[in-house]
Amino acid sequence: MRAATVRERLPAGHDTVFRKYCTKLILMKLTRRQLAAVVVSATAMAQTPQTPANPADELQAARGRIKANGETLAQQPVPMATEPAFQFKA
Amino acid sequence: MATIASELFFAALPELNQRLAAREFSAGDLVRAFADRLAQLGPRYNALALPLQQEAHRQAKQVDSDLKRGRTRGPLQGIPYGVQDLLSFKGQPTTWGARPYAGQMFDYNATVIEKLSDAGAVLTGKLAMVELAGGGGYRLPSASLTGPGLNPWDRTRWSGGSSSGPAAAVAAGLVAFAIGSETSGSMVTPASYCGVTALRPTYGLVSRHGAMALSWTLDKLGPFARTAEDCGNILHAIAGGDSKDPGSAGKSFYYTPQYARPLKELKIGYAAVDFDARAEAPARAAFQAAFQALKETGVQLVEAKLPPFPYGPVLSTILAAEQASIFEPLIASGKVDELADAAQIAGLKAALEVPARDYLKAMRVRRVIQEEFSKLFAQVDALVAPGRAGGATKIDEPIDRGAPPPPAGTPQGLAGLIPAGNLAGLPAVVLPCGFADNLPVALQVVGAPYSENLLLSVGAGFQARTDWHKRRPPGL
Repeated sequence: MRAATVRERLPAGHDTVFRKYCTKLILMKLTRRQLAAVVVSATAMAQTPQTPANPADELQAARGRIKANGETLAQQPVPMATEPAFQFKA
Repeated sequence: MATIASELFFAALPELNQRLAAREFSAGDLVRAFADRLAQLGPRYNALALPLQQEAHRQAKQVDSDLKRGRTRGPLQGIPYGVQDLLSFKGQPTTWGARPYAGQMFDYNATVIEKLSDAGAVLTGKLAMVELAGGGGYRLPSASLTGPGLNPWDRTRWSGGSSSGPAAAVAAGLVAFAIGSETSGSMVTPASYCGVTALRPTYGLVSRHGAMALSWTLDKLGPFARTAEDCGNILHAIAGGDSKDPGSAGKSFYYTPQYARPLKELKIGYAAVDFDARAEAPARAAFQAAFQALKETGVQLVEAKLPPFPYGPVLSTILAAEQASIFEPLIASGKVDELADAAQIAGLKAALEVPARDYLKAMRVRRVIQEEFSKLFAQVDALVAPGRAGGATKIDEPIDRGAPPPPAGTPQGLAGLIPAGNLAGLPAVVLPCGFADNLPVALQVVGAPYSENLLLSVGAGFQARTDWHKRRPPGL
């Protein structure tokens, strides 16, 4: 009964995953005060405006950064005998 | 039930220990006061991921029982603390700050939490973080399940990331100390922005078992606290070999300030330009005063240069390749699109395409970087530079654009010390050193691998002559 009441008070407009998270918190038998603290924090994200971005442009830009990093690395001389800095222990 | 005076929320460990020992209050009283304060004020800074009051009260009772029987466990016994929400705590949500993992739970505790529990410290809550510790590269501070980390010194400013919650919670006196993580800058940045002391340990010194992996070869866990001395005591408790962490160095750490070399024997490298033209204008006076204060500790300050390497591209390539492999299931499932930050989503997707050739080249360059730092630390004992060039950025300011470049021809100085230090696995201590436009600024002191005691002695010397680490945000 208590859990159901709290669930009804969750902010509207949250997706299934977020509601699942909140439900898990409820099932953990948090007090209303504890639950409110977490829910208030989590809703802040939804309230924060995002810079609109075209996903395709974002992906292209990210690929461009990876390519540029590769080009920089290609110019960096490394002695042939230098092994990668792994920590492999047999 | 004893009342906890407000100044105790900002007290260092020795004072809390002394008052606990004098039975001015019980561990239960102290934990209850801190846990309530965290639950009440944590959301104000978006610093709280999950309150753990019930568990904390239970553990505090056990501590009080131990203390009554004379079972003492050292300076962390009965001390309330928080952990970044990338550490697993049995049976509780561990979200990694990201919506796709909002319902995730583990059935074991992270090694760090186990070790702190053994030392008698009491976990009062899990603290907020940038989603996936910033994996993929985020654009806005809002890239978090709990919203943008708000700075206790000015809530219109960012608390820094990715360890946003740990830094803000310590700064606001919501926990006595906190555990955060660093892959590249995730401790140095929030500690600098929030005006708290932090210690990034040598790679491999602290077990990451139970921590979210972002980069196997770069990830580290470390403390945020009030003082360098507190950081030493916390590291003493959490360091040590762990067969559950393949990256563990198998080494212990003993905090031994009594054996510290005299500061006048230490040679510390710096670049004057870092404290002047490379610092943001409002921060220059504070950095120069801090430099003077450091000089007055007796250390020898000598000009130094970083070995010339493309640190940013080397680190970015390694990080991209490793995080892409780690989060491949998230990317393949499409759930990556549930992340809050568009740049981060694109960054993770693109990271799948890092050529093996580039990753291996970066790891080979990294080996040379480590060798060059070895040579540098034969000449100087440590390096000092500003933690960040200025105070915290605005909450709505994109952070992937970087600071405006200094005038053409400005020497490089120690710019790049954050990626360089992380690539070489070097420890660093962050020391609050003043204010710029009412926002904290800090120094970072970086040393050779396993030189934590030396760095902490420099930090303690600096903090004995300054009081920046004792300042409290307005209204708190």
